[in-house]
Amino acid sequence: MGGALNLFQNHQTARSNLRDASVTQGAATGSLARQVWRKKQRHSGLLEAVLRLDTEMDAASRQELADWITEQYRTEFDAVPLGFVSQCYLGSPYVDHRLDLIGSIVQHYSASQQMPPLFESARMLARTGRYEFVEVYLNGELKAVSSDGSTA
Amino acid sequence: MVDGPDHQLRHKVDVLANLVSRIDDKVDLVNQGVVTVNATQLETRKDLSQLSAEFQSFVMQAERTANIQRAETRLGVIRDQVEHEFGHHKVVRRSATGILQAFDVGLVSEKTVREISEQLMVQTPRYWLAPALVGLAAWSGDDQALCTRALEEGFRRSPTRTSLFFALVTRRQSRGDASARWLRHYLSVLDPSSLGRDFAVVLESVSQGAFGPAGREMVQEVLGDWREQLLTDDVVIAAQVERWRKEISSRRSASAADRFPRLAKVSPQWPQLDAALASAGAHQGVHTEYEALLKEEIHPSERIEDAVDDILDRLVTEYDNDELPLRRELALNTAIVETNGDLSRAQEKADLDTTALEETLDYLTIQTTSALHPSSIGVSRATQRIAVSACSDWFRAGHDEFSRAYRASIPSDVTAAFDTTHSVGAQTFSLPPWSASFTLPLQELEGSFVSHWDRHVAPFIDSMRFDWKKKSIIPAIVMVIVAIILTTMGVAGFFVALIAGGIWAFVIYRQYEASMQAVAAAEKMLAKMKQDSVQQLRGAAAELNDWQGDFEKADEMSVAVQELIYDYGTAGHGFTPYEKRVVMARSDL
Repeated sequence: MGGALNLFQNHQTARSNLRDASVTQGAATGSLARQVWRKKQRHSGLLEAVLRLDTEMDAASRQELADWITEQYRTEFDAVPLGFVSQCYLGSPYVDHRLDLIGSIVQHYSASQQMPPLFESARMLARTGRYEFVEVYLNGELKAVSSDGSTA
Repeated sequence: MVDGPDHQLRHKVDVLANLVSRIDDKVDLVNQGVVTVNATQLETRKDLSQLSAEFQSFVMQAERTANIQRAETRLGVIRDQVEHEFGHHKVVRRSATGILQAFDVGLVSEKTVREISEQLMVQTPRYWLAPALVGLAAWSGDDQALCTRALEEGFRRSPTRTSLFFALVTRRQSRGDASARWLRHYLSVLDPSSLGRDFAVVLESVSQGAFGPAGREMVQEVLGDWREQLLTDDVVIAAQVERWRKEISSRRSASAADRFPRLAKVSPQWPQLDAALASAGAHQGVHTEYEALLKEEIHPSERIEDAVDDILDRLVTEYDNDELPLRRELALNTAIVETNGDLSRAQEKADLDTTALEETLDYLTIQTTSALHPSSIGVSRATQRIAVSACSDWFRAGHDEFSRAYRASIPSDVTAAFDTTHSVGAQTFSLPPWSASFTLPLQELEGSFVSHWDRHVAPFIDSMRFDWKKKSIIPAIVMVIVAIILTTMGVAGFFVALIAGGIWAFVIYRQYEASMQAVAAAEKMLAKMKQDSVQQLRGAAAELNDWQGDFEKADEMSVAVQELIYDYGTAGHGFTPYEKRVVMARSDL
């Protein structure tokens, strides 16, 4: 695993490895329980798209990506998040960043800076490094998405 | 003459000077006395607070011991009550197994079996097993009429248990078709949202392969339908996920305050940090226990008859509904003894268990209870393993929820706060509160603290200094006036005034010296305290790093637990023994 966990200090060692974003197929098929459970999973295409959103330099293609993501959420899960919070690998002093779906903005934050209120509570979840990103919804709900697409 | 009165005067001044210096010495002594008293008083206060804390813990200990004693007495009383009210059922239960085994080896005459069963019928009114035994005896004696009547009576008393009993018995005696019919009959009248506790026996039978392949398929089909039916009910699913979450949460580790003493003292966010670390420690416990279950080698009994006997035992020893209130009390008191008298934790523990002691449960709850508290519902390890595998989705969901909750609870900003009161000599130095965040590098933190300290110590020290200049003005003026007056009386008067002035100056000088000493001592003590506080700050920063390391290590186990749960999910079908065995038994016929 990369460098030591650094939740609180600005001078963070950059963690260079992203976990594999492929979806692991769950166990047996067909039963209703599994179908219900699967409904909550984010498929790998969506994961990749969200992770690409912050590396995309060109504003136009970022907007396109954001639109595609919004559409995916609307059709598959009925609820579109306001944005995402995930860990920042740029290195010190940045610890996490916020991706806004509406304006397709990416903003990087250091440990001492404050994010807008709805996003602020998602930061610690993102910084533990156990989730790929955290979805933030308008009603204050947070959904943490792991590398296999399951939500918590 | 001038000499006489002058000599007297000089003598009087000398006496005065002596007196003044003696007073000065006495003041010094009093001063020292005050310092000692102050120090003693602080010691006393410390001792008192320690005594008070020890007393509190003693009171709590005494309370808990009383709770334990009371619980143990209650346990004895309840067990006696159970024995007294329901003990006679044991005889019937043992007889049932005995009769079956006697049939196997044919050592007992039918007449005896009949007599025993009739005796038991008379001795245990209302118990469903008694007429069932009469039916068994009638079957072996080939008395169909009696058998029919006995079965009807047994059916009247408890339809579900009688059906299940005969399904198992006929299976045991290799009457496959009859067994399947009894089983079908039994399953068709059940309502999945309110099953009796005896249903756990069915799960046990499936896991032990006691129903044979046809029976097993039938049961699987019915169970599958029930799952589909119940899984559309979100409330029920949420309840199962919550039980798994609570189960995982109950394995949190203890507080780590003794491993991070300085961080605990210095940071107001310590309680949250402590709670998060304790929660992360739950993964290890869960992993160890469930991995052991997964890898356990469970040996099925060699003969199918033994397996069915075991299951029959469970069926007949299952608590009658009448016994349930007593059983619940028994569970509570056992929990009190186990938690060493801690009433609230005992209640929590007993509540986790008592779901199994309800009269009716829905199918999903039975499954979860088989996975979490197998002994409370009367199933074996083998069934527990299959149940965990069937519950793996909820296990995973409960685990995800638990992990997410404690991760979100980590404070985003850990700060250090100092605000202390030190006593220095006869005075108290109060440091106004200072706090700063650990997101700053340690150098900056230290610098900020040191400058805050210095800023507030300086005026305090200054207040202790003796300003000799100011103090000298009045004496100087007075001396000048006295000198003028005395000089007008004679030259000797001038000398007297000079000497008096000198003595006064000497007294002032002594005071100045004393204050300088006090200031030096105070500066030394405060410098040490500052150094101690800075060390604490450094220590706390180092401990925060350690905490992060420990947290990451503990948190990582969550991945291992997820993989374990996944293994359970995929391994679900491989667990039941007797697939091959049934084929062998067929070929034996």
